[in-house]
Amino acid sequence: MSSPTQAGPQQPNRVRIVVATSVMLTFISFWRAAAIVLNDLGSSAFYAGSIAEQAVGKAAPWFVLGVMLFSFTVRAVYVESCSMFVRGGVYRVVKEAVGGTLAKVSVSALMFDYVLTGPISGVSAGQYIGGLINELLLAAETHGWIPRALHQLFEGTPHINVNTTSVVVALAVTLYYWWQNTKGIEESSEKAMRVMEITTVMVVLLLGWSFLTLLRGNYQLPPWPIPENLTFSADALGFLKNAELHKMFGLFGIMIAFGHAVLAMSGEETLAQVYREIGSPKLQNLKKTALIITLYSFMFTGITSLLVVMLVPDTVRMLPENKDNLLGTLAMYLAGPQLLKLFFRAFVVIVGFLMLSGAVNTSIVGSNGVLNRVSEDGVLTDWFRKPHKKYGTSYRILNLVVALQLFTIIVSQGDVYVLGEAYAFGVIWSFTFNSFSMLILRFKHKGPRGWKVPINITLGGVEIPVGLGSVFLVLFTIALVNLFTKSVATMAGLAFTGTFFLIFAVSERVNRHRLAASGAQMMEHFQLQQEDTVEREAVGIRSGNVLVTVRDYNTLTHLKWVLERTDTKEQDVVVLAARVVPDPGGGEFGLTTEQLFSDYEQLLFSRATSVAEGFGKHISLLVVPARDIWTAIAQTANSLESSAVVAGLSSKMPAQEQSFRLGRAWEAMPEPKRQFVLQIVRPDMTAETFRMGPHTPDLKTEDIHLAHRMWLDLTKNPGLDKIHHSDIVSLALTRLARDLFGPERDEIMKRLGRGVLDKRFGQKTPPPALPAGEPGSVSQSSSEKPEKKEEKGPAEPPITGPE
Amino acid sequence: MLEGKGLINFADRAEENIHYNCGEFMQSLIAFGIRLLEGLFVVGLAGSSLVLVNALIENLGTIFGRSSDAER
Repeated sequence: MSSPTQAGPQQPNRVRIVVATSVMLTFISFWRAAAIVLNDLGSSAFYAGSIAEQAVGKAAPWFVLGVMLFSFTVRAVYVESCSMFVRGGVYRVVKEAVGGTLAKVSVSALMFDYVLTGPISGVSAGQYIGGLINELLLAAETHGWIPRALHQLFEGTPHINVNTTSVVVALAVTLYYWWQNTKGIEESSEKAMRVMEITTVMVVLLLGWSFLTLLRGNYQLPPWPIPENLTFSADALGFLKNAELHKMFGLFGIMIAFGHAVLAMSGEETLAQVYREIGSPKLQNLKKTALIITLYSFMFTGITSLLVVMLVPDTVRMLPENKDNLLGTLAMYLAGPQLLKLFFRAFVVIVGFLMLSGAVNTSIVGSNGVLNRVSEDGVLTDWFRKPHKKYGTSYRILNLVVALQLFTIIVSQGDVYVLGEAYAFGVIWSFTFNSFSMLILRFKHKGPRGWKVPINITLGGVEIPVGLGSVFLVLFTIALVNLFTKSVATMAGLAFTGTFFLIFAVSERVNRHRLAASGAQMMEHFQLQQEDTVEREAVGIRSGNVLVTVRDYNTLTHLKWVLERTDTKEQDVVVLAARVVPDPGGGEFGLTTEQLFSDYEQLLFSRATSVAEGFGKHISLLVVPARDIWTAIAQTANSLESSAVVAGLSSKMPAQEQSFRLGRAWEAMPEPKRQFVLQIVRPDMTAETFRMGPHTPDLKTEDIHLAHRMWLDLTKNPGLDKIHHSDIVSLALTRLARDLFGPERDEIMKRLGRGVLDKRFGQKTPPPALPAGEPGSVSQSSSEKPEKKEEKGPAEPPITGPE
Repeated sequence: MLEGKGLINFADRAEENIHYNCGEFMQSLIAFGIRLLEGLFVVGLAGSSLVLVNALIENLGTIFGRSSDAER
């Protein structure tokens, strides 16, 4: 429902801008949501066990298992925060609970987590690839396939430096995803599902094969997780390495060990990110997502860590060439022929690469989202959010994040252990801040929430959140212990968090002064009216209006084109700026006007208003937040009952592709939906028109002639004199539909495929000519370029609705 | 696990084993701080175990449609 919250008295000299604050999303199932989270969370299976064992010794798998169980309670905290805030991430939760300062600290810690996710995942992927290459070289050496010259060059078995390889791989993957994100290619839940399907095959094979191997009886259980069995490395004790406190206080040692395994549950924040996109019933689906993640990560990260220690001999496991690619090493210690094991190891490496490189992307997307979010909140100046000239993405934030990641990768020199230790700092502190804030919110906002972390006892009318408090206590104590035992993480984490906090604090102060000045100036020109959703009445326009999408204030040719051809007394013109809101780490109930109407939108609308003033015509202005630009345009056009959407020609794709993408978004919209036309205006002021949704196709002249000739021929026959042209088309379509499910399907698809390519991308690939006179000969016409309609102006209202 | 024999032995020996170069007050303070951390951790772990069991049962109920909580 629309609920104006900021509409002041209308002033004649000010241009009214409607700012919609609810993000237009497409919704996904809980399976897809779980796949997205697991792509991040599950990737830690490839390195968490190894890092924990290097720190605490052979008992490490028990701690990884313990952390995986405990992660379910952390997830419960996230479920509660999501039930309160649709975008229930750390930033918003902490800000609501304890204010902006601690929110900035927590988001700085979260940034440390996100920035390190990339390097650790990329480097780990490189370790697995390097390990596999060396294993293959070793196998080739065993079979005598290595040329003697190569053998002499390496003075033995040829091998590559795994650490250097991992740095190269990490740099390449990071740069690849940097470019993808700069171009604005969205993370797809479809892709996440595919990766998880392949991963599931690998996990099932790995677990099944490992259990079969265990049946041989040749295994060793890791020592129980008691103080006597903990053998800490010097690095694992950090500042306490000379104090020997862990030996004096047994439980303290267990806490240190637990702290070294917490990175196994990194990736929980992604759950808060995807919550907004989960379909109805939202909360139930979120719980299902949480349960799937729990079971999956317990089996994958937890059990495989245990199996590694059980099946891979101690002398092999911690060798430098094996310690950072333990799942690959495990594959080589399963029962079976060597060649089969080598193939399986390659499969493990491929899956690992897919997951880990996906996690690199998640880290870039997540960091970008978090920084965009704090930037929208006025914590970072608009300078950071300036859209890329060509792609419209927040490239400056992406550059900053990726530069930090590249720096980290180079400094780490491919050392997964150091990266993992540092990574844990961000993980544990962002969880601690989140649970602490949720605890505060139990007392601060006593109102109902969708779900509460269980074990709540009411004493004297006061509800004591025993469960939530318990989770916070564990996180807080471990975070404190980690401060002393992870010296690298503490120093790097504090330096990073402090630097980011300083940037946020200074930037916020600068922003506040600047906004105070520019805000007053803006208010002289624009009157902002905040609405939850887009509705025609709120924008104050009539049905059958023209929706003009704008992004770059330098390219408003299409707006001029519309204004030249539209009588705004008869037909309203709405200028739409869709603000891409990336997946945030922080969340809130909705976006505020200030978050959506930045300096950039101000400049954009000032230019649009100038253009309209030049024509002496009235335009309405609208800003909407969007996860996906096409979905936002389609949904806005539908809500506003627009008859036409007019856009400029994209620099990224041809007009046909633009129409295809908008059409896809239109198809994905729920009913009821109206049809409209899309008009793409080129810089030379010529336009191309496409219809969205089911519509009468634009028949070519020769097709109409063919139908007419057939009609003439058929009506000569007795009993057929009353048939119409439409009956012929109807019969042809029915037969085509039948043939599509018959043996000729492939042939039809091939022919249509050629036609579609011709239309969408303007390729000239004429299909083979068919004998004249046959019905199929109509396809010859598809060799011609698609008919381009030079439009006189926007479609006149009313456009027919769905039949 | 946490109440294992080894653990109790370690804990019993803790106070008498502090032998680094700092004053008696500091030693007591560190010992107290660590004991406090340990205590909070054990309490938290016990509570978290209950959360885990409860939330798991509830979530299984949600999946099999026996949950009482309604979508808000």
